[in-house]
Amino acid sequence: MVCAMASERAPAHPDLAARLRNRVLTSGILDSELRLRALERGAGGAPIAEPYDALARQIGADSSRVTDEQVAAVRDALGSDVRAFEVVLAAAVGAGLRRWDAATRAIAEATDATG
Amino acid sequence: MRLGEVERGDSVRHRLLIALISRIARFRLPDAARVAFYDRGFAGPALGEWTQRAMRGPSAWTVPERELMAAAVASWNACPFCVGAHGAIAVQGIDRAVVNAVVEDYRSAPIPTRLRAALAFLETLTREPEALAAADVLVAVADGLTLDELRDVAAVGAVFNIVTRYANALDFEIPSPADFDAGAAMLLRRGYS
Repeated sequence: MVCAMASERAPAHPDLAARLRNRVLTSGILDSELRLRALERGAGGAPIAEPYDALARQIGADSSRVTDEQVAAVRDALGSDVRAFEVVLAAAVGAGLRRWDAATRAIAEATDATG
Repeated sequence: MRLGEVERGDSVRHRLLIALISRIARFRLPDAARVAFYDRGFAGPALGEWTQRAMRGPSAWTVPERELMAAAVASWNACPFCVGAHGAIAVQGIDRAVVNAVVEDYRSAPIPTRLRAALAFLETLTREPEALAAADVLVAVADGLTLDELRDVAAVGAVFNIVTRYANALDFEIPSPADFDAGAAMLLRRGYS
């Protein structure tokens, strides 16, 4: 059996989640407003401008149904692979952090309920 | 759709590294590793750090159990690359028939109660995050999980709800079974960050 490595100084999940969110919002070469909107849309947030909305919404809702056309439209609109990549990653991070936040909330509520 | 620059690498150094690793390991470097090399000024390294902590850091869950959870998330998100990649690591500590049974349907798979409870929490987290409530936590606790164990499960779930989504959107190439095994050995040896 492969066992987990023990470490007394492992970073905590909440800190790593916050750091990831912060990196999406404050780094990269894509326009910062679009990065924020793509992150929020991937988390089920408000619609954003096309063609970004179709891609970010689909990544959050069911990524297995993302089409080549959705990615190509974003790549063409932004003019580079790297900017399209940042839209994809921002939306995916939004979907993942939505789930982390939901779990954190549920665990806190259960802790409160049981005193 | 695949992005050509992600596949090739975005610097001379990374292009050389991709070619070198592929040559030494004698298999095509998986797309997951190419993404990890790409656009390093953005959020990838932070995601890698959290993935490493969730999958290899201290936890009551064994590495194969966490890899099995990742494969389960991948199955719910219909990501064949991630099912194959993480299933191939899970079988290093869990019988292959059990891994396959969990990916098929964890409810009827021959696994311990606490692992089944973790997968039930993970399924709701993945499929219906807004429905996740204190009741789900209390059910898991009644089945023997501690809150720390549940937080570790949630971290695996969060990370792989990210990875599976960009793997699908970027149309990751599906390796052969032998290349999945080679990739699994690399991920066991080197980790995620």
